[in-house]
Amino acid sequence: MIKYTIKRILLLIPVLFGVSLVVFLIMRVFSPDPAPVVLGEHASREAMQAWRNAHGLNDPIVWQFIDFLKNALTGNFGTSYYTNQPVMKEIMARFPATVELAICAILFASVFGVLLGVVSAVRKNTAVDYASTILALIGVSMPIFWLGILLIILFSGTLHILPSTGRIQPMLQPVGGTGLYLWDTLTSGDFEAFGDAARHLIMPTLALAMYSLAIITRMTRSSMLDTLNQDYIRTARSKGISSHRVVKHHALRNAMIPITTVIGLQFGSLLGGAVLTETVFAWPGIGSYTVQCIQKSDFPVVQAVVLIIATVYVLINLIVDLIYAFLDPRIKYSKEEG
Amino acid sequence: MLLEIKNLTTEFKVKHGTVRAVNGISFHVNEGEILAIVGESGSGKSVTSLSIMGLLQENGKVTGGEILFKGEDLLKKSEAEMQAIKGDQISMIFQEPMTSLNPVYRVKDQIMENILTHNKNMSKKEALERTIEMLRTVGIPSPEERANDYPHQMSGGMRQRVMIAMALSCEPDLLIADEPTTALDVTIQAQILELLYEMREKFNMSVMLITHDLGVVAEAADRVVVMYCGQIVESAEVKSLFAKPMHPYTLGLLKSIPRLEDESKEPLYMIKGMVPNPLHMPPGCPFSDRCDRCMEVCRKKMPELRPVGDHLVRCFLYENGEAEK
Repeated sequence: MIKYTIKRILLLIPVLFGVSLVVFLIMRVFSPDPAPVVLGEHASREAMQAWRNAHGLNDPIVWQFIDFLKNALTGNFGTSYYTNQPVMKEIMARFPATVELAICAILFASVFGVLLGVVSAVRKNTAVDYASTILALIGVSMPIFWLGILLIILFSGTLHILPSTGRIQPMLQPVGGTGLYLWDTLTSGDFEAFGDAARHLIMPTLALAMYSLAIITRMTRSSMLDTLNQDYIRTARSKGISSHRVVKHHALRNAMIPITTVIGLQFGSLLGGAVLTETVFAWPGIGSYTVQCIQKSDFPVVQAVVLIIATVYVLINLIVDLIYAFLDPRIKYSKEEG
Repeated sequence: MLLEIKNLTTEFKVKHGTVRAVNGISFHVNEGEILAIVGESGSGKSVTSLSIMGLLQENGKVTGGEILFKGEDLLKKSEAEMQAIKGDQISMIFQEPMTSLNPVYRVKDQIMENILTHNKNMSKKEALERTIEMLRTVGIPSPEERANDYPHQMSGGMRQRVMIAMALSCEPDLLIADEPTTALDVTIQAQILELLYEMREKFNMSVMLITHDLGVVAEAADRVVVMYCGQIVESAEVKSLFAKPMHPYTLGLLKSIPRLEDESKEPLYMIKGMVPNPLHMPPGCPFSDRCDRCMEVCRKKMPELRPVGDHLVRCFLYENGEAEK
């Protein structure tokens, strides 16, 4: 298992190389020249040329790429063209917000998705099943921004019980720490701030989780239906154990394998930044920031963000694969793969 | 009488109507005996056993009759009462040992689950000891180690032994074995039958052995019930059935067993035709279309199951005393 894990982590190297090459080329080929964007349309030709030279944009593209790789290996992704801040600092200021939202959304979607899926599989073709089907259909088809706006109208506009935008009231913002406000406020014992952060999280979490919730519900339902028809479920029933235990202990455990895959994939995409959700709720995350940087041709930021997201995605897939081995004893990585 | 089935009828709702898989059958199992239920696929023998265990699929339902176990009707029991009986007093083993064990749990956990479900006061340690003892009893070598195996680490024969160990772990009064040897190769089949026979002696239990293989019946059973299209067509002591089969269907089944001592060059006998579609049963005897000795009356009326000698037979040939053969 350890050998397998190391092997998979080493496989990250070619993946990241490929990803950085692709994103590097795309930015250079398809993005507009950043110089006029940074310096303004009326800047002189010489000033723009000087700026390009200073940022290495006049070097041959191969040299630019090699320079980028060399720096990236030392963890230096350069500075943002606009703020002149180190890229990593810019990213780390926003990534925790995305992570916090993604974790809340995936937890919500997984818990309720699996629950709903199990109930609708066990009560197949009943009102509960139909209701969950409709919910899932709404979940996959409703645009996130629209759902977000509806939520804001209801909870902030009409009922005035939830804040419409932001992560926390500026006065309560925790200093330092991980940047995950729920965690930081809880560990520092600041329950007022914790409550405020939680209240800010509710609507973005709901909006972001709906799609994943729908997918996880459907996957759980079909996986459970498949499992419940297996011979070993009949064996379990023949032992006289309660139907609750049959479902939870015998069926769900087997059904969890495909469900885990879906949850992992969903989590990966949530971590990539939820542009729409972040925009609607003015959530200071990585998604909307990246889109801005793409529009402004802020090459160093985009390159770094894509690399980080690719790494996270690969690592999540690795974790999912390791969970398989825990869920299903027939999967052994050390013997066949090691 | 340990188990008495009276007029059991089980129906399945399917797309194009209702299929009566078991049609008013009655039989009994005595204490300590092995009763074989024989029939082709679709004859209703498995459905009978699943009806007894309350394990029918959602679209299946017992629509009539009684299942008296120790004098009490299982059909009137609540779910909780049935759960207390299943796995404890009546247990079951299935045809497919490869898929009948849960792939994600160790063998010992699956057996211990059965023991602990029915012995609430037993400690885990005692349950484990009992599990290992059961595995040893059913002939699993080095049971202390194999108990930690997952099902996929075992062969089919081993898994069926584990199923038997699990089924017998609470010393049931009745074991229902639904085609326990069908999925196994021949040498293993004999071992499993031998094991069932031994276990019957050791635990003094009754066995309801469901099979399509008359060879298995001859080897193991005391009494035989032959089923065809959801009905009993003949039942008798095993020796008498083999010596003097009466119903043309039983006769056909017996004739279609290949025999080593048979030196004639004739091809092996085969019952012609197929089991009729359960949605379109012929109006008379369901076997009439396939029967070598079909008479006019057979196509119009359903014969009754009636005693003929020491057999029970459902055939017009025996309507007026025993027919010529």
